[in-house]
Amino acid sequence: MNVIKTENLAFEYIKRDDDGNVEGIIRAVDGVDLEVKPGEFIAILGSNGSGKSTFAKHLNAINMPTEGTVWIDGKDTKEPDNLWEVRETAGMVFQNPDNQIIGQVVEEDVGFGPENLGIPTSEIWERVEESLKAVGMWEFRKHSPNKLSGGQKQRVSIAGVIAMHPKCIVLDEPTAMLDPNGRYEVIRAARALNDVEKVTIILITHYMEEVTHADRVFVMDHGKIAMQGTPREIFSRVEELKELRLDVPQVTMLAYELKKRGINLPDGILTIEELTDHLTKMRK
Amino acid sequence: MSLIFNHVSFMYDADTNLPSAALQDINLTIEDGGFYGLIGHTGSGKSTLVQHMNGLLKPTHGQVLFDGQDISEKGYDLKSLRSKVGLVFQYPEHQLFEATVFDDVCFGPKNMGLTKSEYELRAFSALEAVGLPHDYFYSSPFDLSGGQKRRVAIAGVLAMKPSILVLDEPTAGLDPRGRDEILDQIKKLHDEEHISIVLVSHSMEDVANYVDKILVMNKGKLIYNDVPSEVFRHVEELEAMGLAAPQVTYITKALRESGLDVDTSATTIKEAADAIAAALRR
Repeated sequence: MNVIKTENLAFEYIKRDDDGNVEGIIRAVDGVDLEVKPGEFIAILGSNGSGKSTFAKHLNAINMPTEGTVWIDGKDTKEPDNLWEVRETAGMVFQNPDNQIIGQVVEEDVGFGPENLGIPTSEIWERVEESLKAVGMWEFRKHSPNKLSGGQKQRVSIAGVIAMHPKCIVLDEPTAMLDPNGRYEVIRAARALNDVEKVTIILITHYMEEVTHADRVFVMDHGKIAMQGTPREIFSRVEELKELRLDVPQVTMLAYELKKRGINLPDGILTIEELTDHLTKMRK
Repeated sequence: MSLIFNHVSFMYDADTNLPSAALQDINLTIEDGGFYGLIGHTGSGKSTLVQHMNGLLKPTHGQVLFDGQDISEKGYDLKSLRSKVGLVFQYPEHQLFEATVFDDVCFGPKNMGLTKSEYELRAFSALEAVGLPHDYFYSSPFDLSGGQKRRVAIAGVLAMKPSILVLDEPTAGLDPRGRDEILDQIKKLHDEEHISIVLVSHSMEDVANYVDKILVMNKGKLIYNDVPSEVFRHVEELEAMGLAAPQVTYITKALRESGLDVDTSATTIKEAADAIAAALRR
């Protein structure tokens, strides 16, 4: 069964002027069909305002469809009775770590979610331990969150979600505010959860480099899915991506520039190793 | 008008028994017309350094000199310093508050005591300088896109006619095109209006693409102050500081290690493509 399935999903909101009169209706998500299998690593790209965050908020029932349906692990998110189960299945991590941490101590913050699920105390501590270990933050369990770096805070936020044992984690631009090291830490933690724990990952990002390891990439534009495929398929389409206000990883762009200079390389090179392999073979 | 840091140190909570050093013996000159990139991991002292540039913080030891004058001196006109050294904070669009874009940009110069026609003229040219289409001048700032709001916030600082513009992560959260548009616009301000720029960034690629000189902060110290090709030569040192080099720098290095005689000083895609093409022709 799919862990996420959306069918003809649309979301509209009403835009009002200062006096509350309706100015128009914005269709932020416009007919999205998407299926995600358990254990997949999915990336969603798209310009500012393309509808990716609005879409993501449907995955744990923060937003409800105006039209169409979202099923999370088979549960229709529109059914009020499914709300808790949907939110237990799909956890969310947002952009700003400072808005997501509430505890005074790291381990307390991570325990907050399972505590609210009514998990027995002894099991909460087990979950706190395994979650903090999964993101490499166990040694910081007694620290105050406000003394951590951005990347560390974001990993604590992720641990807080993992402690609820979700099947799926939705990360909405989790690295936008982080330095290079913080970005690396967060992406590494997400990939490890996917590889080792088989947690389904939905990663929304503006950093093209973070997408190269995904199983599939979706590109959103004006609320619709404009492109989908493997990272290699997507990043082979440089011109189309640029038109959608996006980019390709630097290594892909470099290969593209070299091709333009008459050097015979395949499309959609994704890693430094691939590029060096191709170029060194050429010399022999 | 240059800005000089002369042996600047800064301690947070200096008068308590738990002082912590945020800046240590910084010596630095922001030259007239320079384009600087300021990098460093979270907590390296970047923001503390930036806040010294327009006197939001004052050194515990040493001096910050603007146009030859010590900004810590009694009676120094900090208000005029703050119009000369404009600071654009992270997510500046959160600070927009007026009913229209135009009013918002007028706010700064209006408070400088200029006449109505003067400040309106400044607001108008600042909005033109950041490339905001005229149609939006009288819209509510809240109806604009993320990238447009950010332009308005930058215009608000530009309208004060600063000679130095300091921008803290002006592209955070923008899509790749939005990022390029803002950076191109900043470069244009530098080239055409001759404003010195200090760009605080977490993107090594952006820094490599745009700036003349990179300032690297680590643990409150200024570690490097050099051109991108020199700074990014120190890949291992940068990584130890939680930073990195642009991806292309790693590519040319990997190629060299696998036996291709390629120049490894490239920091942009174009430079790397040239270097690799040249090496293959050899």
